[in-house]
Amino acid sequence: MEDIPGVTGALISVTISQSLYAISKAVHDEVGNALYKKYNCYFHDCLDHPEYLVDIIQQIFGDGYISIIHNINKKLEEFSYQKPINEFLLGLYK
Amino acid sequence: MKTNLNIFLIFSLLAIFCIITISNIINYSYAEFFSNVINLGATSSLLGLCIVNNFRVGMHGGHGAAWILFTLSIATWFIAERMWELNMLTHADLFWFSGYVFYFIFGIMYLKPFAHQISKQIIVISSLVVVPIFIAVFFTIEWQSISHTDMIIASYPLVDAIMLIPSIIGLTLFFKGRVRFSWTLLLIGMTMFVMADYGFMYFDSIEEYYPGHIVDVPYIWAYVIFIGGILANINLFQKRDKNKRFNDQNLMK
Repeated sequence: MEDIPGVTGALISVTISQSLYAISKAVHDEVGNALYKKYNCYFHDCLDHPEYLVDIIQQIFGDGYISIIHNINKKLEEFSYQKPINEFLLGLYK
Repeated sequence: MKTNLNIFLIFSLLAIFCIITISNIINYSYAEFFSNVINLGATSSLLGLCIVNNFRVGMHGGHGAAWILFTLSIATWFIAERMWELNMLTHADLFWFSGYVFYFIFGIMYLKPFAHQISKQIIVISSLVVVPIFIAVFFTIEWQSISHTDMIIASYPLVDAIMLIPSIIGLTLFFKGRVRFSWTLLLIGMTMFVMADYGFMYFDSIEEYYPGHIVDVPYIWAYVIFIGGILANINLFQKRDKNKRFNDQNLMK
């Protein structure tokens, strides 16, 4: 299936946003701010750089990051037939 | 910021130790007075900071709810302390035990988003910490002459020990993360409560406890260390900077 430009990025952004919001607004804002501060990127940019997201969540929660990644993975699993999303999910577990 | 917090903790803990010890040497009534004043100051500050922390973390999500429960536990302990000072001991016990329930649920709510990683093995290993405290309490109690009041007093270190379980699980999960510092302080604070409540139980059983006793030192320390834990959490989640471009992505919500 062809990706409509920007849609996959938006899906990634919404999923990350939802997963972090489920923990707390403060965690959502802190991860977003730290991503921008360290890598100059937004949630949707994590589609190409999942390692940035992993790094920031790991800095805050240590080994607890695995659960957050697992949660994001569960939400995106049904879209994993799309190549960019599949690559993003694989990147989260690298 | 972490250095300032360490300085605050070291200075406060030393000051509390010196004030209580010196006032005990001078006169027991001074010790009672200073113990009550420091307790009021520490518990009020802690409650105030908990409310600030709630505004900082927000009400959304598992952690938002968890920190509200933490504030409730501190609020009930604050009320219990005031009741204890007014000699309303039965009511004070009721509020203290309610606080433990809120604290335990706080631990569970905080850890819930990480439930995927919490195995039965971690829970069992963390629970083992309670065993030596149960044994110590078991051998300190004089079972032949135990009263209803003695049983309530003996249950405090045991319940404190149970409260250590979520803290230990949290610490193993977040060991390499920035939230580790506040979890470490909550664990140390609760350990101080275990020591202080065990000490209170022991000195009360040999009828040597009086308000302002030196065993109150770790008890007040626990509240101050909790203040450190809350401050660490407040500092972790800084206020949002409206000038940061990150906030532009809120347009997507």
